[in-house]
Parts: sequence; C-alpha cells; structure tokens
Amino acid sequence: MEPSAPDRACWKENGTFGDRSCPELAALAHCRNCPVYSAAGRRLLDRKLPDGYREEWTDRLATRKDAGKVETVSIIVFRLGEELLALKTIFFQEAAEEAVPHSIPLRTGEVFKGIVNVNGELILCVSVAALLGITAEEDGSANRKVYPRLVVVSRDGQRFAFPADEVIGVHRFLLADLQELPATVSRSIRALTAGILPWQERTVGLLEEEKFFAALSRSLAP
Amino acid sequence: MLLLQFQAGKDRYGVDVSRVIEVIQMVVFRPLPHADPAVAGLFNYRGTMVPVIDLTVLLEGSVSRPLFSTRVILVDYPGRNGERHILGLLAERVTETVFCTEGDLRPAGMAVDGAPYLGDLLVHAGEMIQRVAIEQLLPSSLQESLFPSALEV
Repeated sequence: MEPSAPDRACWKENGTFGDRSCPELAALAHCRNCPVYSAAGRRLLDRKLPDGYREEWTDRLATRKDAGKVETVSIIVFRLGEELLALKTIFFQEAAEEAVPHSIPLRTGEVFKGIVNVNGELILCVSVAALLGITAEEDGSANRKVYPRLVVVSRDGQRFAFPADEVIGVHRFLLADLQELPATVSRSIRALTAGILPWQERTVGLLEEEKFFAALSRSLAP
Repeated sequence: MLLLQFQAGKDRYGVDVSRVIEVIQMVVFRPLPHADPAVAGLFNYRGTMVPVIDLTVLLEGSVSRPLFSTRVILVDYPGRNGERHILGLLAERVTETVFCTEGDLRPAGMAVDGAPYLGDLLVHAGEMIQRVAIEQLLPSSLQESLFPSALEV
C-alpha cells in the first residue's frame, strides 16, 4: 500500500498536530491511522545510508548471537497494602474474584482464614498479608482504580488462595537483577523472600517458593 | 499468508514470509568475480557465508540503491537433495507486509520462460503485487555455482 505521500506536512497544518480541520480526521481520529501519514513515515526510509552504516552492520551481523545466555524468570506481581510482592509464574494458577472464606471452627487463625469456593473447587484460604505482617490497604488509595483479587497458587499438589489488593500481572526479569534485601526489611518478610527486583522505580519482593509454601502449610496447624 | 513486499523499478512484488528467516540491513558484500550479474556477492551471516541475489538486477536490470529501505531478506532456500541453505535477497522498499489468502491471488495468465519464479498476482489497494516463488528463483546453473555441495552428494 503506497498512497502518494503529500508534499507538505498536512498533519501539522490541518491534522492532529495542526488545527484538526482535515475532513478525514472525523473517521480516523488520529493522523497515525491515515495512509498519507504512514506513507510519509515510510518515505523517511528512502534516505541514503550514512557513511559507515553498511560496514557497521556487516561487522555486527558477522558475530554469532549469544541467544539463551541470559537467564530470565517469569513472575506474577501482586500488591498487598503498599508492598509489591511476586511469585514465580509456574506456581501461579489464577486470579479469581474476591470471595469471603468460610471459616472452620478451631482451625481458623490469623493466617489461615478458612475455605473458599473458586470455580466450584474448595481451596484453603490464607492471608499472606498477615503471614508477612503487612498492614491492610489504607483508604487513601480509593481514587486508584484497582480490583482486589483472590490469587490461587499451587506447588507439589498443595493449593492455596489468598486475597491481594491488586494483581499487577506477569513480568519477566533477568535473574542477574535479583538483589539482596536491605537490612531494614521486617524479619517475617526477610525470611520468606528470595530477594528484591527493581520494577518501574519501585521494588518487588520475590517470594522464595519453598519457604513460602512451607509457611502456608504451617499456618494450617491449629 | 503474509507477503513481505518489495519493489523493483515501479512494480511491487512479495515473498511468502514463511520462508523468511530475518530481514537485515544492507551490508557490504564481497563480490564474486565472473558470477552472474544478479549475484551481489557474499557476506558473513553469523558465521555462515551467505550468497546474496540482487532482486532489482534480476527483475529490473539496475542495481539496488543503498537506502535505509533497501534490505536483505534472508530466506530458507531448499537445495536439490533436500538440504537447506540460507540465501540473501537484496531488494528495495522492503517496508510493508500484506495479509492475503491463497484465494485472493489471481493467476498471471501467462508464464515467462526466463522467469519461472514470477507467480500469481494480488490486487491490493489499487496495486498489483506479484508473488515471487523463492524455490524457483535461481536458474539451475546459478544454483549449482552458489551451493556446490548439492552436486557432491
């Protein structure tokens, strides 16, 4: 597709970046949806190659790619109160709708909250916030559009559900980015965390799955 | 199927992307003296010597100009005995792709003896895009000289 590119920058005159009087704009909403605009963009590629460009790419393509050398890990990031936490995605099963757990007399405690129904299956419900000593959501964040979820995790056949204030999503990290926890972090978090990862100017605490699931199992004991 | 478009002269052509390994920048080619004029030369692609055919020479008669939009399309080229080779196709205006189905392609109606690789045509946005069949791109004499291992087996 190659409509004739305009001789002048019409997008600056009567388009999105101009007075918006272009008749096409009503249907296209933005110049970037317009074939004239993209044709002009493509024309930028018809420039001559600068000196040394071909030589540089010749050298670059002659070297082998070191693919697969970088070790990455996929994690699911969720938020409890003000803390961002993460677990390796392989242990994550689903983010379900919030549900009120059905408490079990004499068993339900601070961490173990009872049993919840997730898609017809009964799953043990725990409070990770209580386990880690994280205080609950403050009302000040009510203006943010967040959806509390029930996170279902599983390891070696053990399944747990726990409420999270927000499930942020799956991200991929370089293992090399995993850093030691600062000494100021509370002991209960420190004991269950593998390290912290930088994420969008904040840090995410990566839960150490073996200790985390062991701690959840322990919470079931009366 | 997705066709990767290129241009020779004023005409648009396309290759099926299922054959394409990578589209790379125009690099410096080591010329092959006395080779077919359509052979732009050889270059080192991550340790493998890859021959490059200039499609502009093949289809239009002039050499591809050194522009940003001039690219080398690296394709998986089937050899005679089933072995795979990497072949570079130097072409101009490699900036667009187009989706189509086999049913959208219209037969050209005539076959050109010297160019068996020219295939069906797609009419898209008022333009005709002709599909280039990679496996028929090289005449057998050129194929033998570029990939001589095919002869030894």
